[in-house]
Amino acid sequence: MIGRVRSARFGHQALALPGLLWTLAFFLVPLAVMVVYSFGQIDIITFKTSFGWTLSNYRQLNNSIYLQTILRSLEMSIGATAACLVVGYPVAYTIARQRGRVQTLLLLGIMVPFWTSFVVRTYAWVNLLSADGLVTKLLRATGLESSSSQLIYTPTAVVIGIVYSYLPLMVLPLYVALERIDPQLKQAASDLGATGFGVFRRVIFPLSMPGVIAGCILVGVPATGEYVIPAILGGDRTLMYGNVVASQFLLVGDYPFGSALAVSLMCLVTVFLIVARSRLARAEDVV
Amino acid sequence: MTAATAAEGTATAVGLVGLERSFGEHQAVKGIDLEIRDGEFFSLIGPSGCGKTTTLRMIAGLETPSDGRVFVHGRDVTPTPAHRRPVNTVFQHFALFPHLTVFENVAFGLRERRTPKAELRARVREMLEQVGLTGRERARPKELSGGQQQRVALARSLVLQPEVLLLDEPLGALDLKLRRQMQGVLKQLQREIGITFVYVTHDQEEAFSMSDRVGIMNAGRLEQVGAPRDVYHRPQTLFVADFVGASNQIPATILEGASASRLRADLGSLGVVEVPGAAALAPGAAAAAILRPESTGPIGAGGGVSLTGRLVDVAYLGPQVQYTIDAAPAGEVIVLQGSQADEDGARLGEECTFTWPAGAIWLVPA
Amino acid sequence: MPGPAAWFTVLVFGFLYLPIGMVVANSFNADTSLIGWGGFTFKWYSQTLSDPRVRADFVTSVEVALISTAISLVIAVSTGLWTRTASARARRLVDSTTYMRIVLPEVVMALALFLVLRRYRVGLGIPTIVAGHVVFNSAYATLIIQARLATMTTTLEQAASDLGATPWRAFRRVTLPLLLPAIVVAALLITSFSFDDVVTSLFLGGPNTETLPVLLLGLIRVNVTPEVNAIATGVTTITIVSFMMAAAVMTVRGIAGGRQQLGPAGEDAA
Repeated sequence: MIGRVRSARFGHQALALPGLLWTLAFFLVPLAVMVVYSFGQIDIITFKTSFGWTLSNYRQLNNSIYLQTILRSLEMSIGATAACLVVGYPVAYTIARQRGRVQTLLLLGIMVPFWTSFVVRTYAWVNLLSADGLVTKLLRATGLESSSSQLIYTPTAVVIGIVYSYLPLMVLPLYVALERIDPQLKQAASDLGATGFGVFRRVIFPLSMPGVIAGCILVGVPATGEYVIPAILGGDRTLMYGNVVASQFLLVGDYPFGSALAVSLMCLVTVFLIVARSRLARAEDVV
Repeated sequence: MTAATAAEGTATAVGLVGLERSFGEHQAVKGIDLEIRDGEFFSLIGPSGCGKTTTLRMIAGLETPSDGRVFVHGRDVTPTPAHRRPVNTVFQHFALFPHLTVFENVAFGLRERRTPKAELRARVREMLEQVGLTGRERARPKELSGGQQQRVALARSLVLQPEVLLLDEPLGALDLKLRRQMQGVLKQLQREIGITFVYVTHDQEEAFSMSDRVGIMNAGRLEQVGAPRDVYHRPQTLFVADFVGASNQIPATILEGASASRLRADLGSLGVVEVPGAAALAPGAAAAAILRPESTGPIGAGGGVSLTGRLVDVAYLGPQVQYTIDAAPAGEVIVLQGSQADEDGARLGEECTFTWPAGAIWLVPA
Repeated sequence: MPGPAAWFTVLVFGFLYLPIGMVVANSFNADTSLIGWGGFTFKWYSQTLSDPRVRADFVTSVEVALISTAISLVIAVSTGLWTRTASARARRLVDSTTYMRIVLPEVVMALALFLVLRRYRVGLGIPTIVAGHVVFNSAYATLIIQARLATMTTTLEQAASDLGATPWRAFRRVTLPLLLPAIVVAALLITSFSFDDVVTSLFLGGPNTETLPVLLLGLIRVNVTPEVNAIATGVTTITIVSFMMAAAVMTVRGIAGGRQQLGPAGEDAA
């Protein structure tokens, strides 16, 4: 190989450096440090951390009230994801059936709320769900809520907030999957005797599976680690995983325990992703 | 071999010595030695994957050889990167810059050389005139037809006055009629400008019609180099014989007793003949006798071959009629003869005989 | 005849636009308690715009957004160019780190960085916020740039090289102009992400550095005043405008390369 060519090749390889160095320094190394911390222990009096290789943090996780909070927060993200699916599917279906201008307008219409500030989106519900907010009044009027309570600072409020913020992320992949379904398949199903709902259940929904899974990933994963929405709509009574972890670092100062919590969250997300992506791959194979 | 030596008094524009290129396990180019003469139109032809494009790109500097050297007019350019070599390339799909106008595309290389504005403008205008695109300076590539884009690509390279112009299947993207037209344009352009052209294509006819010499490549090796007529009538290998045209083949064995210009070969049931053949053939060697479909004729004093068989197909091609007979020991034999307005009455299933005189037969190693 | 799904969609759209509409409406509402409508007024806006804390935080937000966008774009373009010609294995490795940065909950990323910074006693402020923003912003930008590069083979750069351009000149004259639309889209997107970000800005800002969303979060948790609506509407307008511009660039195909060629008399030998 010739010297000059070799240096040109090196120059080209150097292109990978900025990204790799930054990712290493500000992403991978911090995560690694966090994992190390999760095996350490804090001295309550001196606040110094000793690094043994102990599982006590993880055990503490298992035995504490934190576990309850964590499980409930997982419940909420699953609930929110399911709600997004139920609400988002008909919307995606309707949009997929439109043509041209109308369809573009509708898609834009779904995206614009997503383009508003995240904090603002969540804040918008504070008013609506407070004691004299519109939604609370509405629900009282229909008898779903008792006259003294308010919806804000409850798990329901947090779920509503998550659904509101993440709905477009469910609608878009669903729309893409539904759009790809060959209309002739619907006609074939009808021709073979299936009724409206039957066609949906046996042909359309199964074929839209890749979109369903993709939407659940796009909503479920960030929802599990949500911080802002529970902070605003949940008050101090409804905390999610993200808030619990953050408070360990920012308020309590128990870095090892906080790290253990964070690492567990990471693992949870990773496991979920692996399972979901393999399901996605299988679903896409069929389609 | 010195890459700078003259062949028949002409300077060598491009010299390749022991050129090799491997991609991991796969050897794309295996030891090429070649001298391309100054001012000639040289074509590298061969089937897909034979390594001709890789070889061209090594001359351009766009690929680095695994071994061997590249010389341009006697200078070793192997360590020189592409942007400093005195050669330019016309790419297969033209590679015109979509965000630049025709003028800016052609001016690209001149701008890199910091050519003064007035001179740059003059040279670009002149080049566009030479390729017939005056008045299209402000157009963008996507507004042009395939043929026009082709000419912009040519102009862009030629305006830099390269020592050698490399063309990588430049007509592949054009339809047949346009291809024929552009072949004529290219040939004339090369004659006018006088630069050495190195042309790569898989189309044998195209290469033959334009080139002074051709080089046939197969699986990374250069099998034969020569003028089209030489290569066609005197192929040195079976592959070359097959690649440059249809050929009927008869197994043969070389016998003793060759003369200065002829070899003695045993064609089995067809007898012994004295016919010309490839240089590499020696007595005892296994060979194949090549009989071209269009070279039938009466057998004279020098002897020849007569093939008789059942007529299994007659195909009217327009200028010619193609007969296929089933004749042992050759198998299916194809013959081309000029067509007449009236049918000649040969009917399927009939026995037909075709003959080739000794001069029309050629031996290659089998 | 629209079916049930269509009517439901109308409902959902109402659900989507009502809350934000109310925030915007209330930002002009003269009634301080926000129970009814007290008349149209601009006073909340004038109050906000003259509030020194809001102005300082706005400047901080803009600084952080611009710096992190610039760094992220450099990373995205260099990484994208490298992956275009990298081996499949190397590419997979780098792509997975890109993916991880997007998928991992921001809380975990921000806290891990917080941990390291605290351990090594690095002061928190704008640089640390930028460091955090670049981690995820560069990933989004990389995906966008890679998508565009996937439609550009290296043939054009080879042609430029053949015509005498050094690798840097080929990049500047051929690659960059063709990448420009994607770079603009990425820039608009990630500037918005950065401007709107709460978690990383909150955790890595420290006691002395506050961005606008962090201020907003504080105000919301502590005491909801009408002024908040004005700030919120302002922030939302900025992010919406950004995204709309990005959408416009993506759909306007006419801008092929970004640089307007002036014709033969135009460009000097740059």
